[in-house]
Amino acid sequence: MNVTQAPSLPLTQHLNLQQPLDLSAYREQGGYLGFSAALEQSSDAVLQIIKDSNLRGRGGAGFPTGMKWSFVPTVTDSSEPRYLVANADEMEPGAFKDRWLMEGAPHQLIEGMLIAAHTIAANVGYIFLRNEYTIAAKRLQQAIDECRSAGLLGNNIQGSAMNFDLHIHTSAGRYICGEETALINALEGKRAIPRAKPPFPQVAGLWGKPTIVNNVETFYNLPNIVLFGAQWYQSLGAHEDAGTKIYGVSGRVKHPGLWELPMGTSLREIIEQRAGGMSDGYQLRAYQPGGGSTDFLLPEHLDTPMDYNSISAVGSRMGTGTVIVLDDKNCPIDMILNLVSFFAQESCGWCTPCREGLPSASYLLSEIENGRGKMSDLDYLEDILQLVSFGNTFCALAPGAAEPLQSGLKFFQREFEQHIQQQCCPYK
Amino acid sequence: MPEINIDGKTYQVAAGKNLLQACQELKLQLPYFCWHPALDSVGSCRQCAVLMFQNDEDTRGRITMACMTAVADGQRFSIEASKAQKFRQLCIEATMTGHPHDCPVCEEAGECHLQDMTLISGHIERRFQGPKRTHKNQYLGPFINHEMNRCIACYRCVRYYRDYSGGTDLNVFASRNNVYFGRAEAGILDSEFSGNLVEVCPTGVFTDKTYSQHYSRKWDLQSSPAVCVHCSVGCNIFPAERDGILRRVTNRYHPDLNGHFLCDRGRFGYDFVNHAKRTEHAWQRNNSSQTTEQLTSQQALDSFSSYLGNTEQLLAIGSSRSSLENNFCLQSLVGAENFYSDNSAQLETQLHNLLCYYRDIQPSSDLKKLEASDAVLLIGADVTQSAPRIALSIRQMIKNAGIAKAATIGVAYWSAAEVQNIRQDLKSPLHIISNHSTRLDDVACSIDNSHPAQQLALINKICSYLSEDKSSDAEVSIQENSIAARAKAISQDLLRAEKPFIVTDIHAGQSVELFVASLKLSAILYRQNKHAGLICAVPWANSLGLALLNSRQQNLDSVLQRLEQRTVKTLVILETDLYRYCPTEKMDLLLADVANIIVLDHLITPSAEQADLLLPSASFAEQHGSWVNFEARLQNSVKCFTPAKQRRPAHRWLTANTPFHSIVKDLSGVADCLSDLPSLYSIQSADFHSARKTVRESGRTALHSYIDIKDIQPEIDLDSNYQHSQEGVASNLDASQSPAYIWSPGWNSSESLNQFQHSVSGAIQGAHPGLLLFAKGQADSTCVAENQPADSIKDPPADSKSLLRALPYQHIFADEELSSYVANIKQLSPTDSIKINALQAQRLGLVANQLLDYCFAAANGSLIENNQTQRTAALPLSIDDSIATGVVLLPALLLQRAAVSGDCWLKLAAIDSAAEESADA
Repeated sequence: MNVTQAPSLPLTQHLNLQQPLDLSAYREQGGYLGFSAALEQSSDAVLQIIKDSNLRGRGGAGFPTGMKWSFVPTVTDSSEPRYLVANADEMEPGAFKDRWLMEGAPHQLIEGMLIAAHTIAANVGYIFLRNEYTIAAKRLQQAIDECRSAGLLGNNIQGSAMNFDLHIHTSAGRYICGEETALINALEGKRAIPRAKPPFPQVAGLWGKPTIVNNVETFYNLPNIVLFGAQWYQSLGAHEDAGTKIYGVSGRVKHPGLWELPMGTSLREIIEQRAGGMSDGYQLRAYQPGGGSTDFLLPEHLDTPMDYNSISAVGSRMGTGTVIVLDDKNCPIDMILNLVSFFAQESCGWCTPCREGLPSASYLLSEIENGRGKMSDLDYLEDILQLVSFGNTFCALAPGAAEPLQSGLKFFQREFEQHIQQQCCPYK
Repeated sequence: MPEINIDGKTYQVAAGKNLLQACQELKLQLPYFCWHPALDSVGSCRQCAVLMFQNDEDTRGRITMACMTAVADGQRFSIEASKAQKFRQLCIEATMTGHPHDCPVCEEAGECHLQDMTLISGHIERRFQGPKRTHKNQYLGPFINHEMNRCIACYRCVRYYRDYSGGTDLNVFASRNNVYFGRAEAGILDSEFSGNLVEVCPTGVFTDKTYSQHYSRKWDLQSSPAVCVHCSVGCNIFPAERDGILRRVTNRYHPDLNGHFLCDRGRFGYDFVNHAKRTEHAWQRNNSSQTTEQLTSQQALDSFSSYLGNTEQLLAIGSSRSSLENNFCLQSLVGAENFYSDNSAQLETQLHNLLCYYRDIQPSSDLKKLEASDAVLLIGADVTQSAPRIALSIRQMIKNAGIAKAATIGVAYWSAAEVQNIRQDLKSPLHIISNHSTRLDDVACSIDNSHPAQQLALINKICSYLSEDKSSDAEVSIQENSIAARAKAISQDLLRAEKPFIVTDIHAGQSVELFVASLKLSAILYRQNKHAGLICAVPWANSLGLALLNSRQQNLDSVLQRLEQRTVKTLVILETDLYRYCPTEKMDLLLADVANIIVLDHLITPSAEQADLLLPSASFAEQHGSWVNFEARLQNSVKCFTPAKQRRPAHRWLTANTPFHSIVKDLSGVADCLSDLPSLYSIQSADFHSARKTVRESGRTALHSYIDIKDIQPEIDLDSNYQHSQEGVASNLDASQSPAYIWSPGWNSSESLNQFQHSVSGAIQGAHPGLLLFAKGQADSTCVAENQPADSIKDPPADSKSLLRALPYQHIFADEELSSYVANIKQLSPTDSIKINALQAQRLGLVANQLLDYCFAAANGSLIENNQTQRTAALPLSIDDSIATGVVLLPALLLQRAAVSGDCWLKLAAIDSAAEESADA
């Protein structure tokens, strides 16, 4: 089938959560045409398209995908393995977009990975899948089996010189495995602790070999970029950044959920129109725009376009693009405590600030929330924020964990003081 | 040299290092936990944070970890900036939220790196009021205490234990602030190098259990720079004493030998000095009254000289575990013609072969060079058991290929975790030729466990490949797995390497031909590549020193011969136990015919029990002495404390108080290579002294007040510049002699080493590295080994089907004499057994655990009756499939005791258990 019509929802066009398309159905709807198109081109040409498209990694950091790939050294020894990994260890509080995509359209992940594998000359791929995603595991495995039978995975794919096989690795389940170097250690069977960079995984990653780790959603963008070009992709964005994005909202809104929208859609549209606004009887107090490890924003920021630079400019992060809403009836300190405890629990234990700083913060927050706080605890919390700030820790886990706390201390100062002065939680 | 700026001052620093190393060399105070000079950087503790500025305009700077930052020209840093200081304080504060603050009851306190770093960081206020995490401790064996609550999760223990020493049974478990460092379940630590955990751990999680048994604070210890006596490596140590008890041994850094680490025999084998069976008084046997009488020292000396009055039938035996001076004094006293070594003829010959090799072909190589090697061939030596520290160095050498690979992508050697990730399974080649599995098998790229005859064939083949014209390589078609194929693979690795090493050893019961062939191989390799090295362990701490003094004919075999001929009337035994070299019954008979037996020893050994005159000598810790290690490095060991009661160094019994310096001077005239010996003992100006005791020593005047209230004057040591008191020059970078302990203001733990070094892996300032006796080989001359024809191993003498080639299996905790007196060591020594492979057992109709009797067959084919009674001789059979067919392994000591000269064979027979039982009845 020849597809000439570019889709308006390139990420979710094939999405079917009840019964995802099998290989033939996916192919009928234009599946694997993007890969075929890529295979006809040199890897340099595909890389140039991805670079031109301005696709940015959807894992949270927003690093340009093409640039990341370009750091992989050129092949000098074809017998040396090179690895491609899909980071499907989605554990960010509030994020469930990757699960949605993988359960609804498993073949599109494989197609995206095939394009990436062709571009960076990878010959082995892994989907590092969160342990709890059992439905996704089943559906992906089915899709992989279909592809193997159809010659889309394995040696001499579609008669070309390309060899690429794909494996699912179900993770033992740690938040830190979302950090790409910790993920690589876990894949090697080691403790999931991050590695220092440099060397970057592109140069020395899995088993010391060149490795690219990309987020699941990033791969979903690839087939249509190759098929319809960088310019088309750029034109999809509503603001600065290119393409579309899966946005989500959770919390006390009328319709929590996920939507594929143009990159740069405003927060107001996402929360008020797509999620239907706050549930009856609740007011919007604040929200985390990009998941549990992003700074709170306030209603006054609602007109900010949800893209990487715009959200940074108002003091938070785009992150995973999955918004967590805080209403006026829930205790903000309790929410921060919940998040910080989660991150303290998920610390890998490697570096001191994260390992010891987060539990201290969690302890202080629980003292405050439970009516045993002291005013000096607030200074102590500020110090812990300094301890775990970006650059001071080994990886980005603790600085991320600190974001809701640091913005919380700023935006909810009155609530903190109330808790301490009244020696109880006013929300209970 | 890069020029960097720290807090406004410009410094020249060594290129290729990281900023923490640079700061240490500049003596700038920067705290750290996870970094260790031998384990390098991983950046986990975040304690060495400094501020790094982007350029001259940058005023804010950003926090960076010094240990992870390579120094480069033009960089600007600040240690003192308040932002960096505050971060380091906060980091320590966070660290301490899990720490129990139990310093008063912690054995680490007073020499605790955590205490020191806390002070340096400036953290003083404990704000955290929450509950602390707690852990369960584990029993880790007789050497090490475990107190996990004190852990600060620096990860150094697992990095040392697993990545450095190759252990597998210590690991990190769980995560977050609940990480646990221990074993999967309680049990004895498996590594022979576990004791280093005590020094690697920056706080009191792993502490020395043997020290706990007679614990004293560090500041109350008296120490000296000494040399370990438990094998031939001669690791440098600090013995530490208080009140006449040797309390512990810690590592003394030597850049070319032990570096930062000791083996467990060296660290924990010291308690023989305090043993209940130590000699304290001179005793004389009175045969007429059937009594033993205690003598005064003068009486003992008189008695001694009267015994020596008649030199006609005099025979004296020197000691491989005694100092050069003691042996020399005995030799001078009795005359060289009456002086014999305690080495068998076979060992003595090998030792002389080795000396000749060092002198004529190639000077020896040290462990630092071994660690830098890129290919090692290990022949017939289970070095983990015989000279353990060498094995630890081989483990480091394995990593070089990975370090080189990392360098190609710009990752520095000190970036430990990154190098490991890049290295993965890549190893510099280690080839092992042996007759059974060794503890280094896990890192070897090829292992040939075969019969000595096949080993010899393989080595000879390698020799011919090495000396062959390399162009002929291509045409030979070689069958896979044949000896030729294996020889070629090994040769190629040795030829490809820039610094190939041959590692072997000399031990009792080994195949002589094999050893000679190894020397020959080493010589051939050296002629092709002057960077090639040889490491050859020898049996005991001063085996080579004794060989240096003695002619090869004056050996233990000739002693036994003379005893058998009944031509010995007076026998002087210096610090050796003849019962270790001869079956008990035979030795009893031989000694029964000697009229006067004089034993000088610091332990009541079985030989000492036979003495007519027993003179209590001093242990290594109680005397000055020189030792020659495996590489012919002459090192001096400084007396730590004054021996009690009548104990005195053997040389003082032998020379009636000749000043030590005269002995040294006379000794230096014995051989050209010893001429520099006095430089090791040069006494500085009269007012220069180093203190053996710390300035903080408490209770100096009170220690003996329960005996006498008066202040006892400290002993004056006329033989050295070390004082038995707190008086003396504080040890520091300006010191012109080796410090008696490592301690510097603000640096109370062993980490204070950096305050004594100019560079991170450099020597301790003032410490003498020892004299390499053959620093320059002639290289154009040949030695015995090379001229020896490529011999083949002799066939078994007779009845070849039932005879097996007897070879020793060694064990770190079983074989060495002095440590075998130590209860903790003994606990880990394995039960003796006879070992063969399953196929062999099947052929002989034997099964595992069956009790076996055995008898030896000598080279001439005659069966040697087992001299021990059948009951004690019977040993259980254990099956080990790594053992080559045709070979039977016996405990090394047992084989040595069999006193069979040359190659020997063994006949095995099952003991009829029914007959046994009836005998019992």
